Amino acid sequence: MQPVARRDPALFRRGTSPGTRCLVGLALSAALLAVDGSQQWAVVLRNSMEQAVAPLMIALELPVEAAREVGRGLTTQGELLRQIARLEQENEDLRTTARDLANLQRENDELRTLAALPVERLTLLRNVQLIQRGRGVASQRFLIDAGSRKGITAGMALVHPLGVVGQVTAAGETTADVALVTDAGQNTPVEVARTGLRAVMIGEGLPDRASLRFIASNADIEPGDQLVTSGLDGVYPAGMPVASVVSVRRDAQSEFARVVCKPAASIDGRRHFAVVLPTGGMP
Amino acid sequence: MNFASVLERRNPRNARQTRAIALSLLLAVTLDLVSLGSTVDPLRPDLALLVVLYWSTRGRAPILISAAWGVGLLHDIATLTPLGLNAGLYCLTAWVGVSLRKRLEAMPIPGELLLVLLVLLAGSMLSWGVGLLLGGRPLAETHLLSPLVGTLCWPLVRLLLRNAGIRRRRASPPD
Repeated sequence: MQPVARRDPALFRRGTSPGTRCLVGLALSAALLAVDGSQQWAVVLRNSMEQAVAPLMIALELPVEAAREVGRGLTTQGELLRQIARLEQENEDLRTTARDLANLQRENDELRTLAALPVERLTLLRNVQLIQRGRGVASQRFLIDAGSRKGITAGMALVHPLGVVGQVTAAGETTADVALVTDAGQNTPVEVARTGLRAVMIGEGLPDRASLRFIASNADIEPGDQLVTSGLDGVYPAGMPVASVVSVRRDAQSEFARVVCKPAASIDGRRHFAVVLPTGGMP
Repeated sequence: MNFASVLERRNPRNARQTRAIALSLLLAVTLDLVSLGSTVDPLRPDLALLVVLYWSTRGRAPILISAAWGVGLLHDIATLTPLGLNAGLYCLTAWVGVSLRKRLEAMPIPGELLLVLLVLLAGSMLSWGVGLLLGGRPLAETHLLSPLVGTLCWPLVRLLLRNAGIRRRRASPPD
C-alpha cells in the first residue's frame, strides 16, 4: 500500500498557471528578439545552434533532392531536344556576351591605368552550397555549408555567374547566414549600365523584388535597364549584374520616381554559389 | 527504468499521450523543414503550430506551454527566423488553446474551423507585425493564404492526432 502522501489528489497539486507560463515565455521571446543579431554572444549562440541542427537539415534535403533527380530523369525526349536547342542558343548568346565583356574589360583596364586607379578584380574565396532556406520573415535569407573555419566572415559577398546573390551576415564555425539582395533593408550600391546613373537598391523582403530609392523623377531610367554593382561599398565587385528595372512610376506629386527591379540571380533551383573577398571599395 | 515507464506506472493514459505529443511535434517540425520550393513554401501551413494547437485544446493533458515555447525556438533556429519569434507565437497559441479548450469541445466543426482560422490569422499577423518592426517586411498575400491552407488541413491533423493518442485495445482473454 502506498503512503498517504503519495496518493494526494490532483486537485491539491497546482503548478504554475498556464497564463503565468505564457507570460514568462513571451518575456523570454521578447528578450531573445531584442538581443538576436545585436549582441555578439547571441550571434555565437545562434550559430552554434544552427550548426547543431545543420546535419538534420542536410539529411532532410537528401530525399527531396533524390525526388528532383528522379523527376529530371523522367523528362521526355522532346523536352530534352527543346532544352538542347535552348541551351545551344544560350551558349551562343553567352559567347557573344563574353566577347563584349572582354572588350569592355580591356577598355576599362586601360582607362583605370590612365587614371592610376587600382584595378578591381573578383577574388574567389571558395564555392559554397545552400543548406537551408529561411521562412516567414527570413524568407530572403539562407544558410550555407561553410563558416569561419573555411575563411568565411561577415560582410563577404555571394555571387553566381548570373549576378550578385547576397551578403554573409554572420558566420559560425561550419555554417554562415546569408541575406539576399532582396532581404528587407539590404542596401546594394548600383549603377545603371546604360547611363552610369548611381543609386542604392533596397531589398523589400519579398522574392524577386527590390526598389531603387531617391531616384529623381526626371532621371534617365526606364524599364529593361540593367543595374550593375558600382563597387562603392567595398563588398561587391564592381560591374556585376544585380537586377533589371521592371517598372518606373513617375508621380507629379513627388520629386522621386518609384523604381521596382527584379534581381538578376534568383536562388530558386540553385544550390552552389561562390564567396568572393571584399574589394575594399573605391577611393 | 526510464521516464516514460515511470509516467506510465503513475498514469498510463498520460504517458501514452506524452509520447504521442512528443512524436507528433518532432514529425511536424521535421516536415516543416523539408523545402518544397519557393512557390509552395510561403503557402504551406505551419504544421508544428497546428499540432501545438491541437494538443493544447484536445489532449487529456494540455500541452505544456513551456514545451510549445521550446518547439518554437527549435523552429526559429531551423528556419533562420529571428530567435524568439516562433517561440513566443507557439507559446501564445498553446495558451489560447488551453483557454479555448472547453469552448472548442462543445463547438460544431464549422465553428471550430472558424476559430482555428482566427487563431492562425492572428498568429500570422503577429509574426508579420514583429517582422515589420525588425526589418520592414510588407504585408503579402501569403500572410493570409498560409492560415487558410492551415485551416483546411485542420480536419486531417485532428483525425491523425486523435488516432495517435488512442492505443488499440488488446483482445482480452476469455473468462
